[in-house]
Amino acid sequence: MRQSHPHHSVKPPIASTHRWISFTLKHLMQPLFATVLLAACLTTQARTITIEDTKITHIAHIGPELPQASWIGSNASQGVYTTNVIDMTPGRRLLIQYPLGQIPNGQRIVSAQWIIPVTHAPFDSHRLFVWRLLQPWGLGVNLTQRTQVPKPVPWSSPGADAPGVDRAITPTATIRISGVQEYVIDVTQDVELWYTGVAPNYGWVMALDEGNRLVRLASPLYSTPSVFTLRITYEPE
Amino acid sequence: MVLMQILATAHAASAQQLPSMDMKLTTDTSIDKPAYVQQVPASGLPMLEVSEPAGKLVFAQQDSMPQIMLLTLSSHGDVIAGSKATGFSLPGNQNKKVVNQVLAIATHPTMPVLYVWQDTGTNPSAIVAPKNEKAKQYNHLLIYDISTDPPQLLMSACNGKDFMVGRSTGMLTLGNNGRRLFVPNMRYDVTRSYGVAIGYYELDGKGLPILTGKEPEADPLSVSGSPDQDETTGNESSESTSTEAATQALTEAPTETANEKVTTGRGGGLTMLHLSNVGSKYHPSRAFYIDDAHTLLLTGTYLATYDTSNRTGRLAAVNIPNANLRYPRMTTHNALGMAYFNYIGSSHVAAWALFNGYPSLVPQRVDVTPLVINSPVVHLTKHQKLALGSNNKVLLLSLDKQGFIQPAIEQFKIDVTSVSLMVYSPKFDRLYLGTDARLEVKP
Repeated sequence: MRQSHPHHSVKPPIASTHRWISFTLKHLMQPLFATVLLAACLTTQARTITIEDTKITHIAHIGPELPQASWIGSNASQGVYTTNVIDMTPGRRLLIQYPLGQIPNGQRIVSAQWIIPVTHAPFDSHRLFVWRLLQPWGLGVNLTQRTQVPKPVPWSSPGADAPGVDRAITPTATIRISGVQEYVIDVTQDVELWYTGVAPNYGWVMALDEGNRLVRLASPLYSTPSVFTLRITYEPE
Repeated sequence: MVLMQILATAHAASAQQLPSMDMKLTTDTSIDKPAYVQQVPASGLPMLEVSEPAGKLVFAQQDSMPQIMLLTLSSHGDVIAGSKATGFSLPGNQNKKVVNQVLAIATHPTMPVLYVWQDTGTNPSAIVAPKNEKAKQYNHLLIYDISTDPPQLLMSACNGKDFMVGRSTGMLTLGNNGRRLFVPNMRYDVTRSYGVAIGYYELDGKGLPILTGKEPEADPLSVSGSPDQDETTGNESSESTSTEAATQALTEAPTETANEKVTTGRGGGLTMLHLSNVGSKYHPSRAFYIDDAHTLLLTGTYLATYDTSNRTGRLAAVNIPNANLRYPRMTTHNALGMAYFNYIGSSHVAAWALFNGYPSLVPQRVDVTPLVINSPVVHLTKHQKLALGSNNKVLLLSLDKQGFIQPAIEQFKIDVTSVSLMVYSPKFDRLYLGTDARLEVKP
């Protein structure tokens, strides 16, 4: 009859101990080390997030036709405006501010792209300008007021038009419209400024070049949400 | 860099902070039924209003008799145990061939006056013009003094080709502390099968429409100017106003002055606001007074602002995100500048900040899934809360100082299968809830 010796009850001799340590290092520590290394590698990898317009609280489309309104949209018929689409015409401004709270602390902005959905471009060589806004705006925003809470505060120039005061002097981007498509613009520098706190995040103002007639954008309020998206790639500093 | 970050933080702090604008809430706080809740028997009754000056609850049903029932309240606004309602039906119903349906009721805030909107209900999905002389004389609006027993018919009005006949829905709203009455189901272009409009009367101190006896008034933009044009093509819009036809319609509209019990057409003094392609013939529009120049409208999937002072942009319609076409309901709070709306049968309620009647930024959206909301949203003004009826329970949402919905729900259970009928009285501070019990009516 063979006597069985359970392993846990057997104390190995010294030579065996070295083998046991060697075995442990080889079979347990190596995978553990590899796991730690992999985790470290993963944390240093860049990450990309997409902020959809459904997460935005600050968005408006202002203009002279409805000077008291936060939303113009498009002229559906005489004197009637709906937000089924966003028509950029001279004098109208699209204001938009994305929250950046999703980006954890201690990161470096690698790239940021703003996707702009152009759904109708009947005229050639139109241009859209995008500027960084320099003033806070919010509830009650319209052509002349940047907010009405807790009290009305006017834009320096209607439509956030004062360079260096309402908006940056130099455009973040100039988009030359050449057909119906999604236009991707590089906004890395602006997002970096906002994320690092060098400049406060008041979003952007978009305008059509004076003298142009129309560029139509999809509406974030209509049945196709998530049309204006901001894609940001960041990595640990 | 540190200084810049401090400055940035200071800037951010000075920027406007909005509450959470997209919330999914669960009901984890149950409370006892609040003392201001009054349960009233209302089995099968779809309409309930309260008349504070008359001290009565007003119930209505479309075509069962009696159509209107009045239940007298105590001086504190409480339902008196064992009391019975008095009932009456609309005057045209002696003729059993045509049953006049009650589509909407409204009460005056300071006078014991009841407004009833009636229709024949024969062609509910279409916008049709009255085809014969008898139909042309059909009065949609009935105004009663409900301080007397039986109530006294003070005036009937709103007939003729400017009103649709055969609708199954319509809404009445009082605004400006009872100085304006909005009426539904008008037609701004009698030559077309569509062309939804609403109208309003200015009311006198007794709660009666002020009729000028002159040419009927209309928003001048409804009948003047060039035809509607599409911004991009310059072509005439498919839903353009036919200027000649509209002008002719206004000219032909009855203009007699109405006194008590005198049947009138539109009468001078009724202003028409046409909703153009924003209105939907399938869904009732409801109008809310903001100020003399601005009216807020809920029209199916749009929240629209009608501005009679802006000739270049009289109507601005903003899409309601995730809107459900069915059964939109809304209430407003002018002092807070907020609109609250929901869709019967959905799980969503929303709040939208208003400035001069224009909705600003995006609405605050609240999802209470898996609960289903069966009632219109009711604003409990003395409690800074919204009330919503669900199955066997009522939900209470607290509002912050600005009128936005706070991220917490209270609920109390109530022995009602589906809480669909609720109305609030600020004067009595009572929330009246219709129950499954049958309302007893005096023979």
